[in-house]
Amino acid sequence: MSSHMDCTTFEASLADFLDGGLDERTYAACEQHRAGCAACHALVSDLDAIVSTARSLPLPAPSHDLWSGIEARLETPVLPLDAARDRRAPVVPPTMVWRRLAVAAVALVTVSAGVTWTLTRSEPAVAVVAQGLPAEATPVEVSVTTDAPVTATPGTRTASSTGPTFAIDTLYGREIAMLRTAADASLGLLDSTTVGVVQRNLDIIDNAIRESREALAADPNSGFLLEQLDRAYERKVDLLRRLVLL
Amino acid sequence: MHTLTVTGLVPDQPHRHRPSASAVAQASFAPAATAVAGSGSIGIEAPDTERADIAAAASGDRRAFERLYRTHGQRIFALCLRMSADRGTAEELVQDVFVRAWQKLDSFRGDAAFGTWLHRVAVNIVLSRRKQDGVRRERTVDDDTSLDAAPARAVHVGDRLDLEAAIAQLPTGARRIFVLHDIEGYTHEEIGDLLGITSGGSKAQLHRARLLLREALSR
Repeated sequence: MSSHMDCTTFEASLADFLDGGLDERTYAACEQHRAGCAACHALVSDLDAIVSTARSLPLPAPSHDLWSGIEARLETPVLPLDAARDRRAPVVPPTMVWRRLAVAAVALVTVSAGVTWTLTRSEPAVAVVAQGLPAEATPVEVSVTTDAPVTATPGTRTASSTGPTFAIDTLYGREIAMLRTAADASLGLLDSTTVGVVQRNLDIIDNAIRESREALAADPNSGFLLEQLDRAYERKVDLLRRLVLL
Repeated sequence: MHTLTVTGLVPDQPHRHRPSASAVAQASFAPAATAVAGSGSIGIEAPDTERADIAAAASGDRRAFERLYRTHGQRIFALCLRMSADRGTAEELVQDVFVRAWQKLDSFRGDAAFGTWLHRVAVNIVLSRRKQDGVRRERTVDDDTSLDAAPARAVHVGDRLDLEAAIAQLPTGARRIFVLHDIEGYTHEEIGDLLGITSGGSKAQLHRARLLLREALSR
């Protein structure tokens, strides 16, 4: 290549000039042209500045912590709780159970915040009535936009309305109602086989919830049963949440 | 003639040997691990604690996996944001990336740095998302954005926000190649493999992207 390079030839070689793809002779010709041509010198300097700045761009941060949304989607196997019923119940002091439930409640609220945000940012605020999935142990009616109390279906709650079962129902009922409505939309996108699997898992969990409540009605001071009920609810929330985020 | 006011610019330095990778620009969510230049992408040299977290997470420990997220999440978000040019999409992509990483963690053998492996997962997720979104017409690698009026005058790149905004305005194909090559440190061969184009095509798109950025920044 001639050592007297013009601008057109220089620009044709520019990409390789910048990134090191030229042989020594061509590179020297480019350097010579650049040294004597103000326009090409400026062009190289500008592109160099762009590359240099791009390499040192600061890392942007998301608008909110994304972990809760990620954690909600991490796969959690749904285990049939019936198997656990046959195991010998460990002795759990009631105070410890309540401590765990308090922690679970905080975790639920925290994790659900991301889901709630996801649901509410694109959907108008409406009164949500659970539908689509078959009725379950704790059908509830709840407004997304208010703190209206959860209304449990009469006759489904076996413990005292001020007892621990009621507290758990209240804790999870509102979340489940909202998630179920959104989950219906997700189910509509799945094939029938998958919907069948989901429904069977929900049935297993609902059975566990029902049996735990019946057992609690007979033995309301059992910390173990209370914990079992809480875990069953937790599994249900987790399954619905994953459905929503499909 | 106006000269650029960009930190780190050495106008007359030779251009023949540019590094194949850049360093991590700033600390991630958690205190940053040591950044190392890998073969085309950024690697994070895993300290013992990270190796332990990887092993624990592969066994189902979510808290360990959260620590990995805290360490690498911001870098992955930056990649997703710059590749997609949309903050909401980027946040969804980050979630997809970490969910996929969780599912595939047992396949991570430690042959590469975890950060590099995660980065590859992220790039694949971003690119597959793009394919899924094919219904929406976007400017592509082959669009005809004009370069005829490349400016002869100098540009201002002093504000990094200007450059970020200009990158976001690039045509999709050019933007991806610019991000992968000039920001993330991938080679043209690697980009060619990822995008299904030749390395020459990648090189041409990169040059085009740089000229478009110059044009945008000179307005």
